[in-house]
Amino acid sequence: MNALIAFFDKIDQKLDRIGAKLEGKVVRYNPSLVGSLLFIVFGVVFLIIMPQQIHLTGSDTINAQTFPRLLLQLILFFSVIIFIKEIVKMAMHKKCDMKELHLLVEVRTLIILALLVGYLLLLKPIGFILSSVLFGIALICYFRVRKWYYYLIVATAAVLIGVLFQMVLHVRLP
Amino acid sequence: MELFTQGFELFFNLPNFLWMNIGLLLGVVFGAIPGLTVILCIVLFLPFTYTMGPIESFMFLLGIYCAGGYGGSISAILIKTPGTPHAAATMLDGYPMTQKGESKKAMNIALQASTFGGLFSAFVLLFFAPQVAKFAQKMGTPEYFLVCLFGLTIIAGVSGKSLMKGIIAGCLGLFISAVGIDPMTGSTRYIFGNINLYSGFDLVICLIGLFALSEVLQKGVRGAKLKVETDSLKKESGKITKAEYKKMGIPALLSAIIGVIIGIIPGTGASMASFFSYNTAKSMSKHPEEFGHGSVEGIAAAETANNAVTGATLIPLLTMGIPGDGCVAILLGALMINNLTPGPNLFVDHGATMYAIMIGLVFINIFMFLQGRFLTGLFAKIINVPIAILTPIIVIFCFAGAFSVNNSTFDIGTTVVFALIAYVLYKVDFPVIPILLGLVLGDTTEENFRRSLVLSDGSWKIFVSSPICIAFVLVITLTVAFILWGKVKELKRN
Repeated sequence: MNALIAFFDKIDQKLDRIGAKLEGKVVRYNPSLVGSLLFIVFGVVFLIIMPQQIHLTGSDTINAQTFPRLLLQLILFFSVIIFIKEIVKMAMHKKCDMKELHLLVEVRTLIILALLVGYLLLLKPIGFILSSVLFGIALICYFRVRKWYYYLIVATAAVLIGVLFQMVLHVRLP
Repeated sequence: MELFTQGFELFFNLPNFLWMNIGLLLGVVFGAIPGLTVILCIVLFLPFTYTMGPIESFMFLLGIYCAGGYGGSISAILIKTPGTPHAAATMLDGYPMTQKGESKKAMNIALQASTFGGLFSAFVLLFFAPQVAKFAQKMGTPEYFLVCLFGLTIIAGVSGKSLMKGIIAGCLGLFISAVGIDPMTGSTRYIFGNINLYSGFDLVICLIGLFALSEVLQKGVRGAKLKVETDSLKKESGKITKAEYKKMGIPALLSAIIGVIIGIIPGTGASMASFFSYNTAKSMSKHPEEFGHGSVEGIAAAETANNAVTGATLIPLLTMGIPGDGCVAILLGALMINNLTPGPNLFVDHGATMYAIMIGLVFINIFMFLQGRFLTGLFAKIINVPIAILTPIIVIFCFAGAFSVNNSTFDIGTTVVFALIAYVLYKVDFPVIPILLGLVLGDTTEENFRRSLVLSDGSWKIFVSSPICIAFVLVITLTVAFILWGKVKELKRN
């Protein structure tokens, strides 16, 4: 037991050191500029691939492409307006709304995302209940919780949820 | 009257009462815990409604929706952290009462005011919805498209600082709803050769990703711990005096009316209703100086108004398929899952079911009162449940719920992708709720838009061709102008 606690302490210290290194590292960006640029790229790409993705069957003017095209054009129109507005603001040295990307927070989010993907990949090979228990334990470890009963509660909840969906809702979980 | 009796008979079943109470309990819990939302609760438990009948499923979801409003006030009063945005007005006077050692009284006022507002609103729904539905039966395809467009005007209210960003997000939602087989021509759209996308993205899958899993991704940011001292609640009597009831009477009645009116207008919502009522009560009060320092009138006004919105938002939803806010948009999805397509025909084809749902709303508010009356101490303790325990349980629920839609792990992957999309949008300050509106209204909007243009040989004049169309165009313009005016005022104030 002591060896286990010492092992976790070691990991904790290592994580603290990594956290300390990342703490305070910040990337400043203009969310409206970045967001509008993302939507411009999205709009242009999806408009370009539209003929390959939506095959027309007749010669009607109102067809399967009409509605998506209109929406993509609206997305492009408003994104370009936001983009130009932000560029003009920057060029005229007016105050722009800026946001900060804290690297430590983003790394934490990436870890949660990795845990979610890991959980998803484990579902088929080891089944829903076991993968849920493992995921629950991993996520509590991520929160760096030392209380053993937290692990027990989450593991029990994972089993109960699995049973609930299978027995009560008749869902054939993997 | 016959439909009313049939509705009453349909409603008066044990499962309806059972699911209603489970929903109420869940709604209070999710509303009370800061960080958990009512939308999250509805999304998480939506898969449970697949095996239920339409009335049971609606009782369950409406229970969550109504109780969420009351639940938000518990944490607002006890720990100065509103569990829901519309409980912020309650917090202004609720927390000062807690500081004075009157937290139980504040919670009692909130409960009674919420029940009053909810009941008032439920009766308004019961008597007005059938009349609105009768009017709506006169509408054709172009009118329907304009109704959908009216529903989308809510985007103006939920766009945050930038309306343009809201429109972009709304268009993205509509675009996502267009993926899959085109129902009119049978062509596939943006499926990239993947057979799992033939039927498009399921609404529930998108919702779980956008609103539930994305919250989990953001847990990298949050970590605050809150603590409620529940022992003090046991010592208090929490009794409201006759003089206090007298003081609260008129503000509560006025707030109920305000809540109903605001609830009917799409895009406004409970937050606007509670603050508007709070300000009205303050300006009418003989003791405005008490507001902000533990005024019973303040709590009564805010809580009555935010619960008076609940039934009123169902009027445009059930009669025309217009969702008043994000939560109601999910309820719209729940109706569709049960093959009840909202609109005027709903009252013709499923009149008894509609009456059962409306009668159910009255009982939901009565049971909310009973649960609040006897379980206040338990609800107060719930706020202390650690987020470290809740987060993995939420994810497991999300995965099980997403899988249960089509028995496919592909859907779970889709929810993770949607969570990532919501996370990126959050980082670039784009609102997510307009996507939900686009997703919910997408199919009906496109169908009626295209049918109208086919009927008119591509002429857009069809959308101003009848008096109802012109009336809707005017209403849309006025609603957007009203919401924008409110936003400009808010910006100026800040």
